[in-house]
Amino acid sequence: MRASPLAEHFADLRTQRHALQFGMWLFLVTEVLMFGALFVLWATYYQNHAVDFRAAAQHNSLWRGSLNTYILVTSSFTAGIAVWAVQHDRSKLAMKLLGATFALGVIFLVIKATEYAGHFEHGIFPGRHYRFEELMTQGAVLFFSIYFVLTGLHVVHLLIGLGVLLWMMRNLRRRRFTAEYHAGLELGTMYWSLVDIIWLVIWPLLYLVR
Amino acid sequence: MERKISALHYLIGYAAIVVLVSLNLGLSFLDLGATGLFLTGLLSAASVIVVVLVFMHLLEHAPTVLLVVVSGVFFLALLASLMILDVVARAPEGQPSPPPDTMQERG
Amino acid sequence: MNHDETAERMAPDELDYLRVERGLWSWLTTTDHKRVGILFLISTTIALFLGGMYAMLLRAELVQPARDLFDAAQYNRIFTLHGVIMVFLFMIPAIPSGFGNFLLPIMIGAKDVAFPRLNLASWYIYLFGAVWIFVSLFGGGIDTGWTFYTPYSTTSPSAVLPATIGVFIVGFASITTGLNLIVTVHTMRTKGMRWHDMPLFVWSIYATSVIQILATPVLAMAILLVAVDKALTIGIFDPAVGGDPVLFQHLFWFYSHPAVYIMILPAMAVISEIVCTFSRKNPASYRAIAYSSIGIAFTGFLAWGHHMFVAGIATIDAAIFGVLSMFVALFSAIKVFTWVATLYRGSIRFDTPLFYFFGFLFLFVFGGMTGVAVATQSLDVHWHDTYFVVAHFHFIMVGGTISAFLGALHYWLPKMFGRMYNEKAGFFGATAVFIGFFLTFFPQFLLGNAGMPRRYYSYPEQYQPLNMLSTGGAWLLGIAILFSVVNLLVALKWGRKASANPWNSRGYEWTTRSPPPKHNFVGTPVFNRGCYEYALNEDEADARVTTR
Repeated sequence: MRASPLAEHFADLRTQRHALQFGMWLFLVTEVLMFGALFVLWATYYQNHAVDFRAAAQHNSLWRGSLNTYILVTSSFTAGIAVWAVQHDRSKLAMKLLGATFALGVIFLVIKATEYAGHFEHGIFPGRHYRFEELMTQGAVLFFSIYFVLTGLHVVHLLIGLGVLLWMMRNLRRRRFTAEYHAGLELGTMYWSLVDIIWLVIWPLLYLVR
Repeated sequence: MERKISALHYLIGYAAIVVLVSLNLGLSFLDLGATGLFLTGLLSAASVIVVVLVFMHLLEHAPTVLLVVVSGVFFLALLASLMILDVVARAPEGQPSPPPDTMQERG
Repeated sequence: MNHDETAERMAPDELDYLRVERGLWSWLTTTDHKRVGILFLISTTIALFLGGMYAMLLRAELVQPARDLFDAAQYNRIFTLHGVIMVFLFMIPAIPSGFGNFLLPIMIGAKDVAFPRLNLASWYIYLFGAVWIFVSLFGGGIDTGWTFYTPYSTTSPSAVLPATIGVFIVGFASITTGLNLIVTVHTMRTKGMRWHDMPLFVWSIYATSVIQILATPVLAMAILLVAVDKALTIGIFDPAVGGDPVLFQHLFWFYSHPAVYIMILPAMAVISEIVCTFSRKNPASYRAIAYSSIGIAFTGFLAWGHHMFVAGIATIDAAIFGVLSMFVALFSAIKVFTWVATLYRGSIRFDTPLFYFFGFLFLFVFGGMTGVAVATQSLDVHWHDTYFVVAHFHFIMVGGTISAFLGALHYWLPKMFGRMYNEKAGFFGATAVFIGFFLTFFPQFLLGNAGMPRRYYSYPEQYQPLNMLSTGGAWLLGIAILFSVVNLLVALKWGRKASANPWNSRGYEWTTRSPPPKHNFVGTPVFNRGCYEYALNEDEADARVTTR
């Protein structure tokens, strides 16, 4: 009989699971507020630089950004379904789903890398390093500074998310997640979905408003 | 044990998000100015909400969690409103407003 | 039946949390919320003295009008480090992560916080952030003011990068403590304890934690953008590339105004407990104090622009902030009146913690009222960036929070360590702190109103007498705090052994042993009486506290 996952300071497993979920939501709210501050910054600068922002967004690859959106949304789905799979005692399927989520995340990174390469080729760098002759307005410089900080931070969170996915796959293989109790899996997939929703706001701000 | 969610639930959620994302993408090809911006915001918010409710299981988690999420969004909206109001309501061209008229000699 | 017997019944023969494991390693790897709380108290007190040292240096420079000890560049570094260390390494974490961690689980009858390992991690995160701030210190310090305003912070030659990294990291320690305590309150209350049965201390710490969760991430972003600009010249607030420095101020103060309520709410938490114990009375209105905590947390978020009245924001924006800023005062006033009403017709016990409350009462009210004054836009135009503002916030932060912090140290020393301090010395220290504080900071209201700017190392001759008085007061204040802390340290080693409940309080933390055992109680404590229920006689009050 495996040792119970119940920690000694919790009254029961149900309380423990509830506490973990609640804690995770609090953490997710802090992430939303942190990225939110950047979104607000975009919105504030947009007020006085709308034309420049739209012009700059046209130099972002719409098809790459949109493809990435579909990729992340799908990966969020596969992560969510993995929880369903574990709940229905289908660990093998769950493992495949987590693997698919991971793969989609990696594809996202590859596409992003090609995007960055494209920007650098044109001389589009953040802040003072910007030297894209075709679009030399203050608004464009601001736009791309925000672009690099936003997408850069997002990439960092995605990388962490990949690590979380690996951790979950490892635990799944070691049968730490059962149909009765799989809080770690729930929390990990929630984090992955956070990476998705952040992108779901980044994408319209930086790609669709053109 | 917690109520088990059906796979269909997730599939419907996924379909909804794909539709919303596609609509948003299509919208970006039209030139609707301010209305377009508003609709883009609406569609984006809708897709985020679906992800949060379905894939992040907010629908299943305690009502208290909803208060947490709503508070976060509320205060973010507060930050946005007053920051944007500042920039929009300043003197022309986004310059800072002149200082208040109190330049009396100090005693 | 006396209190010691009750304590024995609630937590029979077990080694207390200090003795159950010994050695440095057991402390560095502890997951016991009580030990984590003590670790925070030690670190934040060290930060207090370090920040205080910088204060003494800058006050020393201000004795004479002209430059004597430091030039402008050095002086800028001194007041900046004073601010950064005091705000981020002491004021924000001391009471919530120190006393909050230690007491909150016991007060709700829990064995520990919701996430004990995360709790220990939060201390290490705090230390890691502090290390980065020290790296900045040894790298020549920073001269931007603790407020890091752009574009100076992004172009200053001083060690801004490690300092901003340090502040960013320490912010996460704050967030994790807040997260832990919120989840603890929601999920780990003992059987039968509803929200309205919780001690008022818990309500205030809870409100503090909510602010920590919602506000700190915005600071994280603001400070990250400064760090990133310093490191990579990304320039989001750089006017040269179209950036707007005032937007930094919006993001910074969106956190930093609620932050001051992170600093005062825990102090109010302490005060609520002290007032009830030392007047042996129910609070005049439990709900007034409890809900005011939430009220302060909420309204505190509405006011940030009042720091920017003369920064060039739109007039309508400033006007809105001016009006919204007034609301917080309502809730603070409700608390003050309720505390005073609680004392009325109470059975007053004059001990050191109560003297700290008296100091708090007078100084906090002064500070609070001058807060309403500076929130008035038309008046702030005159006072902004003068010593008037400096005096206002020190009345609250030192007169308010530090008084409460010292009061808490005295009040809960017996619970935490099983020792009693010397009461005469305690009283002497409390009085000296009050006098020293008043002499230091009251003259600064007068100086500020007369026009003396803040953050200046020299000043016109006519300001000298008040400055000398202020510096003299600072010496007294510094010595008094040092004396009080030494008195407590002496008590740790040589103090009289304390009983389980030396104050005869009805608070729940006093029903277990002093010091408590590792899991606070044996089994699940059941409190069949209120934590302020002094109407019951002693035996009845003891009998109603059981464990199962």
